[in-house]
Amino acid sequence: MKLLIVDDSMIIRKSVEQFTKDLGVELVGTAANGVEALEMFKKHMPDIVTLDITMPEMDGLTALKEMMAINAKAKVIVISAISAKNAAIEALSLGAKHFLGKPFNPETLRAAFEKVIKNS
Amino acid sequence: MILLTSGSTTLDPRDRRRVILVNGILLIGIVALSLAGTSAYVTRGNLSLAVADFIVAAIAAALIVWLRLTLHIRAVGSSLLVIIGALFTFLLITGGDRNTGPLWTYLFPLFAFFLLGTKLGWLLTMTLFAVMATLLFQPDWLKTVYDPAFRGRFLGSLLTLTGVAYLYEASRKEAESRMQVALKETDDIFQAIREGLFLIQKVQDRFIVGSKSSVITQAFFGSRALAGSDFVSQVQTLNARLDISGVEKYLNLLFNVDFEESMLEQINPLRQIESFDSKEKRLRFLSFGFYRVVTTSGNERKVSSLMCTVIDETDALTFQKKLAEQEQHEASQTQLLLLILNIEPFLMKNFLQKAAEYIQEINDLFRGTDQVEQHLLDSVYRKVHSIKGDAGALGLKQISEVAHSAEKRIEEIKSMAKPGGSDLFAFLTDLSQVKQKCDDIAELQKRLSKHYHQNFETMVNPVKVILNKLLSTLSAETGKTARMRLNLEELNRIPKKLHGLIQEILVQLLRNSFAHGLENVAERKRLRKSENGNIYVKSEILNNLFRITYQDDGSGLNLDRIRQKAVSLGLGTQSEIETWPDKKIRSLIFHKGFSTAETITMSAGRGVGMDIIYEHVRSVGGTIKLRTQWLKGIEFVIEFDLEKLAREQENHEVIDS
Repeated sequence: MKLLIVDDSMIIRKSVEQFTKDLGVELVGTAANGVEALEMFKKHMPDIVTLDITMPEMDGLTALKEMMAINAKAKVIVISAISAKNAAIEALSLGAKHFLGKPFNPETLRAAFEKVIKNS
Repeated sequence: MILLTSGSTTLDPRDRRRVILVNGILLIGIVALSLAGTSAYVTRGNLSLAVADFIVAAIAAALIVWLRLTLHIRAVGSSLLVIIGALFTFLLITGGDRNTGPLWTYLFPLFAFFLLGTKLGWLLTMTLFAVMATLLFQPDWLKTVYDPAFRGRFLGSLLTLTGVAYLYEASRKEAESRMQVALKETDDIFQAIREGLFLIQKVQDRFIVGSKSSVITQAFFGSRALAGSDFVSQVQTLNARLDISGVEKYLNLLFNVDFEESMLEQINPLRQIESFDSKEKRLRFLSFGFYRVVTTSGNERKVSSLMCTVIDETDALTFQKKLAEQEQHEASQTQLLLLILNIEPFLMKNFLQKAAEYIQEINDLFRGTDQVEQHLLDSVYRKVHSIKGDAGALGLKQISEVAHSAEKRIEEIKSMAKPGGSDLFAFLTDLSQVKQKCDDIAELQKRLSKHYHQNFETMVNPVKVILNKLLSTLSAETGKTARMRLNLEELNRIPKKLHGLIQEILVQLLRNSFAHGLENVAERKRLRKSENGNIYVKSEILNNLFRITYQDDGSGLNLDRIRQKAVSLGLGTQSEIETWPDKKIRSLIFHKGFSTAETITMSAGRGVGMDIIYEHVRSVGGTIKLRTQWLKGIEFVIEFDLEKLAREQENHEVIDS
């Protein structure tokens, strides 16, 4: 399982990396905005992506649409502010597999990963 | 159709069907008899037959009227069956068309059971059977001749059909009564439930409201009919500004079993939506909840429908708003002014100075660094805790609340694996608010200072004042009462620098007494203690030793509970900890993060107070001892070596200069 982490906050990127270390996923890259994320996505073809919605350059929803067009089988976990309800609904309708509200704790993050991995 | 059913709308569905059948048979009968009567007279000139036909038709018409007027379906049904029975008997006697007339008899048991139920059905069918059997075996009474084999088979098959019709009717009746009980229960639930409740089904791409809803539901949707309507457009009429396509997408997600219900609940767009209540002429807030009804067939799970709840949250939200306004009001300058006037200026000045110092130190710590080290956080936490405690003691609620929030944030940051700059932001915002409020007070106090001419410091023992103030605050907060005796005269004989420390220690001990030790009045009565708790603080100087004794007659320490807690914190195994001496168990309360309070309140139970005291005492080379007896009380004895203190003081001064 190849993992790509997309978030403009360094701390979120680090904590996702930290918390998912022993889940049997291999981190292939991290990206801080949508444009970078798409480049990484095309290059590494990850199986799992954690994706922030509000990011500079290209927002998460646009990036998600493009990702789904390239590989609809990729499992995308959206990690975003809990207040962005409509964006979350939109993301799940576009093909994201799970939504996680910030701030999250290690357990919910791991549970989301385990669920997505199990369903694949 | 109107002719068949009118007047029967108040009946239950089963009787309605009976009415329709009876009316149908009667109408067909009337038409058939009229035609037959007319034809008998016109083509064959048989007047008596024609008259007979019309009489029967008239009876049929009378039955229709009777049924319409009384709705006595059993009486009318029985009469109809008697007529039909007579007609069938007539057909048997005459043989009808080429001896096929008796075959119509097969209809009889079906009609009988359906219209009259099993008992009366049996009675009429068996009567007819008996009549027919008698006729068939008395050929003289018949106007035609039946084959002997036909007679036996006809009777046998009629009997069999009657039995089958009975079985069918009996099982149908049982199923129906079971269904009716279930329906009644559902109706009762929908009647009694206090929130909006209905089902939503997905039909093609639309979301359709189910046929039943709780009685209260309709009140949320005004006069618009709910059953069978389109849910999304119902919601749209509640609030036209809602993002309807978002709602539709959300409902689609709910019907997709792959997404977790708990996750979707977090992004429910129909929570606390505004809607104008045209009846009450006010704005209200409705919250919709969705629960899936999942059906499983084989390996496939499917959401067959959604159960939707609606709650009016207006009152709860209005209450919250009022609270917020009240807090805003409290923050007003007037309020602050009153507070300042009620607090001795020197106490305020001390607090402001100390708070400013601490905040400055904390800010310096974080300046220019993104990396936050754990031991720094501990010291920051203590400083914030101390500001909170002092502000609380002075009654500066706004400051102690913000400090409380800052303290919680530091706690969160402490629990993070790798905290960084952005995590500190919220904490520093809180801290700057504390600073802002302190500055406001300082500014006001400066303006007021002209009016104060006395130097309070020489007149009042500050520690005494602050403890008495805290006592009344804590009494008001907890509803517990206590008498406090203070003997702090010796405090004037020890270095001024120690006063702050002694004050901090006593403030924390007093808070602990109220949070853990002292029982409420009812509990104290039960234990045959005086209604008021008793607190005694004493200062002594013995040679070079300065000793502070603090006693309360509360519940003391429950060593068993501390042992349990030690086990649950993983300090050792059950059997290991059982062997620890009581002294070691008692000393655990001085450890960082050890607290046995069940609830966390502003004043204590955060498991930090005792370790602060311990560290403070140790930092100046003092000792702290405690004695306690469960249910009787607790005593702390804190001692400082004055000579040693003086020496260290000198050393510090040398180093500092």
